[in-house]
Amino acid sequence: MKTWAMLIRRELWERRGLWLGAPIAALFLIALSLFGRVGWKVGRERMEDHALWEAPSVAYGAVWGGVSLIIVIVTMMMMIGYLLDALHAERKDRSILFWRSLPVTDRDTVLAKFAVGMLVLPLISAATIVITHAVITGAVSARYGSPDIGLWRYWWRAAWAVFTGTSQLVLWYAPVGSWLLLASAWARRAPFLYALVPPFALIVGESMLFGSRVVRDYFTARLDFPAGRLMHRETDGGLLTDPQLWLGVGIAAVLLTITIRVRRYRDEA
Amino acid sequence: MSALISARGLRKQYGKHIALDGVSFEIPPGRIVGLIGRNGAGKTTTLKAILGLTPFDGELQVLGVNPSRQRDALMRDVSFIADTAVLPKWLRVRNALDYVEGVHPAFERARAEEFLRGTELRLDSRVRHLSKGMVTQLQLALVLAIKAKLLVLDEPTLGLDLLYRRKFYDTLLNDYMDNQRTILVTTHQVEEIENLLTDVMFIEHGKLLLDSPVDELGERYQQLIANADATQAARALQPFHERSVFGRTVFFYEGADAAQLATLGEVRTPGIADLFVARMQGIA
Repeated sequence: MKTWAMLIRRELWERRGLWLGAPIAALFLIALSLFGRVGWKVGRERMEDHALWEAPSVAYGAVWGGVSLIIVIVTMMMMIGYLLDALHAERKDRSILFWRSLPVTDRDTVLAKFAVGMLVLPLISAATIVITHAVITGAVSARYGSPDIGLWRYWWRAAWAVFTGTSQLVLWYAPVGSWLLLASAWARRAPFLYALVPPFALIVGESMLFGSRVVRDYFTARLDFPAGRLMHRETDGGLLTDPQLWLGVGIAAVLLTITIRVRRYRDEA
Repeated sequence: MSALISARGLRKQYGKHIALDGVSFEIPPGRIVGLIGRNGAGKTTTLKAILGLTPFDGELQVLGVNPSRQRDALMRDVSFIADTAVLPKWLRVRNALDYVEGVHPAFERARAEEFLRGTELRLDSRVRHLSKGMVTQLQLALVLAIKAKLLVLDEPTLGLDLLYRRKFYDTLLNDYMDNQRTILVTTHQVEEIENLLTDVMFIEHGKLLLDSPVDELGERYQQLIANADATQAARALQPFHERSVFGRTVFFYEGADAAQLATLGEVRTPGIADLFVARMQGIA
């Protein structure tokens, strides 16, 4: 446990800005709600005047949804950047020799980096979203008055949806995350090219050899943001009932196993 | 377990280049072994094999385990500096101490801090702002504070000034070394560690040229500073190397009769550095 805590702190020492992406986006959104005319496009027409009173849950739903989406997008960019660099940076600056001189297994190192990218960042993102919802809701209520619909109970439900939605997204994108980490461990330079070229080669190769687009359709379906399919109620399994999600988790496990081997034996000369 | 490290027929090939060509040796516990060779002779490859950093052919046991397969277990009892200046630039001295303390059960933070007190390093300095010598000091402070059974040092004092090199070797000898520990060290500055070593190995072209306890070198090798009128006679005894120093000729012999040599001039046990040069150059 002590080792794990240290491995995760280590990542945050190295990348001090890493956990700040979502909070900075949130501050920006909060500033908009405080100083703008409750002003980003998503909520504008609904929040003004009558919409807020006629259909408050729709109005707040739109604002909360917009906030969530922006913070999730920022977080995903941070995740992609981090996972592509996590096992590359230590080889680029040769500090891998120092890290490997200590009794930390390659398995723990790889899994800790995966956990920072695929658990810590999404958790920070989810927490930031929920707090931002609360702050904006408070600010909007103070400004326009609060419709009497049990807003905070509604907020609480939304918070639950944010955390369950985030965990489903994490599972859904686990194979993508581990693929990026593998590219990071493998590439001598430009890990993003190593991440992009093989899937593109498969798509182009299939199209030239067979004239079909099975691979392309699969990748597209798999990368598509499954916003509409997330679980919304306790009884609704959402994405969790999709076998594709669990197949993806299996693929992620295989890719991580390969990544551990690659860190072990890459650059051994 | 008698030998701490035992290697038999160690081989390693990079493409067509043979880095290690059947190296065999045993290192018992409690020794300070110098592995001496030129660049590319196979020193670093040997160390990497011992540390489980590279696959190899042949048999190798370090602390009773195969370093390639059981590397994770091995790293609890072995500490090493593979290369200087591999600490990441963003690391603060304090973070380095925190990290090693967090992951290494045998790390004694107080020792590392005491060692750092004698340097210009501050706890909140970042590696980025340190000179190369200071980075080395930090690395040495970290490894010297780990109670490991085997300490492997590859060119540990590169970039350090003379005063600090002395201090480092003094610390190594007085505070670190006890009969439970073993140190394997490579360096270019052979003269500096000559008096420290208990054993010496020469490596060249992936083969061991010499593997001997230092106190047995005298029985095996002789250095003769020949009298001016005796050079012909000295040469006739088949030295493997000779060179001229201040107008006198110095000959190096392996397994010669010391009494016989004494009639031709002054006989000494060659220093490790001299012996190394002599072995490398052969008969000049």
